[in-house]
Amino acid sequence: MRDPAFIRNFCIIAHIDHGKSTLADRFIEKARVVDSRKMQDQMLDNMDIERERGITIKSQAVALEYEAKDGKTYTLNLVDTPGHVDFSYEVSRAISACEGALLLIDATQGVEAQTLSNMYMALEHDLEIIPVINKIDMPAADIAETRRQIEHELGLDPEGALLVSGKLGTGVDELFEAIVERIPAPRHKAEDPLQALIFDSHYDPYRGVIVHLRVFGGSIVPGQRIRLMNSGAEYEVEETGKFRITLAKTEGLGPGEVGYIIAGIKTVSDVRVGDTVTDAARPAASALPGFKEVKPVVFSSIYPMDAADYDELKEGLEKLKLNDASLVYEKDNSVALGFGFRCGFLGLLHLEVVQERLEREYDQAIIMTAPSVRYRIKLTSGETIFIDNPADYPGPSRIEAAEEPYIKAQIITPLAYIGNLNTLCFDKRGTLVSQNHLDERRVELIFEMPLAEVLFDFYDKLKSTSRGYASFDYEVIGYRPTKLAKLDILINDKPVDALAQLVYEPNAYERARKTCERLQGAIPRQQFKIPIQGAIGSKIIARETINPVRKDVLAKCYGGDITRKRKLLEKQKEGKKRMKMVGDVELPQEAFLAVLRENEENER
Amino acid sequence: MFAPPRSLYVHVPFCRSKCAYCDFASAPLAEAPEGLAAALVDATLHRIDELVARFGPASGGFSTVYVGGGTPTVLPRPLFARLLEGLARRVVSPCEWTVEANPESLDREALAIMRGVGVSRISLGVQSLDDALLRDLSRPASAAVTEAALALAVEAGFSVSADLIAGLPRAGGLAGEAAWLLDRGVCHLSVYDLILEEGTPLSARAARGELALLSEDEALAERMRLESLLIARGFRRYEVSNYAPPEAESLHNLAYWRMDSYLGAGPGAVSTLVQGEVPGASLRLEEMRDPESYLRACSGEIANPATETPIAPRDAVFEALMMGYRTVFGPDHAAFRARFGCTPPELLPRSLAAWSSRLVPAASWPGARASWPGARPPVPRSADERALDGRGLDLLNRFLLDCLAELEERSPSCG
Ligand SMILES: Nc1nc2c(ncn2[C@@H]2O[C@H](COP(=O)(O)OP(=O)(O)O)[C@@H](O)[C@H]2O)c(=O)[nH]1
Ligand code: SF4
Ligand SMILES: [Mg+2]
Repeated sequence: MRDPAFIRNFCIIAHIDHGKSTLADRFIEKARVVDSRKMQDQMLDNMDIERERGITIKSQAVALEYEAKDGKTYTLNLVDTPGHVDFSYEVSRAISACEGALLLIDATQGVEAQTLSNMYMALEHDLEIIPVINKIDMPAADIAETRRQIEHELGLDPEGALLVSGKLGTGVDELFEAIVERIPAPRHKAEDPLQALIFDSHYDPYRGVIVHLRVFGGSIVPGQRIRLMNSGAEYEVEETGKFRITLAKTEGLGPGEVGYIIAGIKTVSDVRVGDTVTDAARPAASALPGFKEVKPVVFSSIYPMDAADYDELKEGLEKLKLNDASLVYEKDNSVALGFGFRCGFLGLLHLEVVQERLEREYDQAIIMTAPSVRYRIKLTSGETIFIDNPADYPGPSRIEAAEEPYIKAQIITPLAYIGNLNTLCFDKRGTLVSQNHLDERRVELIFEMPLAEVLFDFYDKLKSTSRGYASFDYEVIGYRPTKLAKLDILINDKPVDALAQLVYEPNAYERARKTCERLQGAIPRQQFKIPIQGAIGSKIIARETINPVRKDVLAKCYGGDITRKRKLLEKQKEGKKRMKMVGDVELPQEAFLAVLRENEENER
Repeated sequence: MFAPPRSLYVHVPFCRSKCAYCDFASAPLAEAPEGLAAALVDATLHRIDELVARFGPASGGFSTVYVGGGTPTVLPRPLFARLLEGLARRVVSPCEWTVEANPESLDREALAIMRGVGVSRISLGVQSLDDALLRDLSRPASAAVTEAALALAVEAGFSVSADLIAGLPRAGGLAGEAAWLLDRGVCHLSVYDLILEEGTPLSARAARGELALLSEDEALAERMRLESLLIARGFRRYEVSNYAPPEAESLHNLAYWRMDSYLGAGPGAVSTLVQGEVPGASLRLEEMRDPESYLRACSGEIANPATETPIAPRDAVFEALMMGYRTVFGPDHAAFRARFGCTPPELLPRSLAAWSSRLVPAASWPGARASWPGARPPVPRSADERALDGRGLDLLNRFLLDCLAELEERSPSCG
């Protein structure tokens, strides 16, 4: 176990795309943990989806041995943190595992929403913050302006900011020295009772659950009996180790150290990020602060495209769940789509990540229903129920009062878009709580608004109204009264349960109109005319028609065209597999997505 | 054993200029290297000998010949004569011999050469009679040039077919243009909906919104006007895009739609040799598309001038359906049974039932020209032979997708 004086625990915090993963790669490379030739780009992001979307989903840590200018070798524990608002609780846990943070700012973008929110989080945990101006190799980099923002918007000393290009590695040596000099060493002692913070966990098919933790006081060794202080569960430690590029076994983990333990834990949902590990025989007096159970706030049902694939979908979800404690699901069924699962997510991005992973990693063709928030309903009987599934809607006569979850939304935008963004948020039933001028160009808007409004069309509109300049962050703040209605969608005169939505009653007409319009755009023409209707109870409030297909034939087909035309039809037939027969209408997978997403071409 | 080919296609990969919508294997002749066209004519004739030696038919027994392109008539006259005379030596009195022509390159001399070797039919690339539209499509002809070429061809006694392109606004309307052509002796029409092929100048213009296309409703109305005109003149829609009076159909093209064996020579041409009897794969040969590589391959300098691909019985069945249902004749049950051991109703009970309202009794094969292999005594088709009706033809892809799904669910052989 290492002398805490030679340990530095730090994380990199940044707005998304400011270059965190890229810089992490340079660190590892410079520290020669891996040969640079063997480096994959962004090796900390090891899931496919992440690479494609360029976001970090699960936090991971890595330990680097660094020989400083003072001739001594330090262990630098880098904790990579996730970069999206859906995972902000995980960010906060990763931050609290550190003594310092590199606050990375893209010199071409300047300070953005999550730069601020992450910095506040780091300050709350008393972290030493080192501002780092990144991407200085880019022609559009504006170092002077970024410095100015560091001073005026973050209130940090711009003289202490380091200039770096994560891409080229420029300035990284100086950054190492700054970490050693400026970030404090851990101050805890080996004699204290064990207190270690779980900041992540992942499932390894060969080794079971690997718990990522940071030891504060005491130490942890194989054979030790441990207790998770919030859940109460006890386990025996089988192995301890550090994060190199692979897991490297150690004899134990001492105070201040970051590493992993394996302790016969079956699934990641048995361990909660933020829980405290202590010694079962000599427990600490209290758990580390800040534990919070993450709760899903967005719900949607997942069905297999082909009902025969139900068992495969179930297996896929079970496997995903091994690595994703925040995913919750239970059995569900639909008249239109058969058996499936009702799932809860931390947010829309989380939902999309699960969707993509199911499709890609587990090769599942799936349909997801319109996401919903969870409503709190007081029934006339006096009973209170929670519903997130339109199928459970009790009907207006049984509802005494309904409430829906609200969020506090933080939007940072250039001045020019304030008017449009205010209009957007007012349209989304938001109320402006405060408007703070960050500098002469940019403003922070704080809104309170229903979470449900963010699920439908919000992100895209936010981006288009602000030409991509506004950034957005939110937290759920509680329930407020609402007027709830259930919008039914009828296709060819038959209600399709999987398309039903719970809506704010005064917006039902608008929502029904949009849904019908989008379905009209997403459902391919069929041989007959198909009415699409939106209804509340028995009242039709919106209607569109899909005209029958007029012509679907290849105009020319002679001796030289046969192979090409056959292959074209074979390809189209494969596409048809992504169609779901609902009654006598073929619905493509996109029809279900169309309900959720803005598509400019569909809007008239 | 493959069924011997009775139809021969010859490809001439040159035109006067490139039309804005064209993605065929064709390039402007003026841009071709000196001597390329002549060398290709010789190589193509030589290639025909190779193919015939390998697949038949014995002693030049082709029923139909089709010289297409490109624009065969763009060839300099001596070369045009060399090609046609070379073909005439290899083919013994076919019952139909078509040559494609474009109005701007059809003159008395070309017609005389064709007459001399026994060409019977000319397929004229008219596309439109609206000069503004023709210019828009970068077509070199005009209505006046077309009128003159057509008069010469009819006068010389050829049976003339004309191509029209549908889906674009034009001064005289589609039906108006068709009437004009029929009045001047055209006895077969091919009307193709414009296809915006990727990579063509026209599709780029369409993507930029610079192309006025007819709306779906307008296009439908144009088609309906065209069809009522053609019906009144005794024509029928005998294939998705082709109209003719009975017995004036293109026999060569019918061979494709019946999925009989056929040979193709010249750059980009395709041959298909169908298996004569069950079981076994058919064979498809696709000649190289690039004229210069084709030349070198034909002279033995590099490998085989064609890519040869066996067509598995399952794919061959689908191809026979895909082609057969394009016509009012439908797939031929006798040929189906001989090749695959079963008939469409046995293969596709579900799809045929689902589409029963769009299926009508199959028309009898044109029989007048007796040496054509599809021709038989004018006996009625068997009672269960079916073809799609007009609306069915318009929805052919949907029907074929149902067929494809049903075929996939069953075992490869007929039960
Ligand atoms: N030119 C330049 N591009 C960079 C630099 N650092 C990161 N990038 C690019 O910025 C994008 C986002 O980087 P990434 O590391 O994924 O950001 P993260 O979302 O903060 O993890 C990627 O396309 C990187 O290649 C840099 O220093 N210079
Ligand atoms: S004439 Fe025919 S082959 Fe030649 S360029 Fe025009 S469309 Fe293409
Ligand atoms: Mg990243």
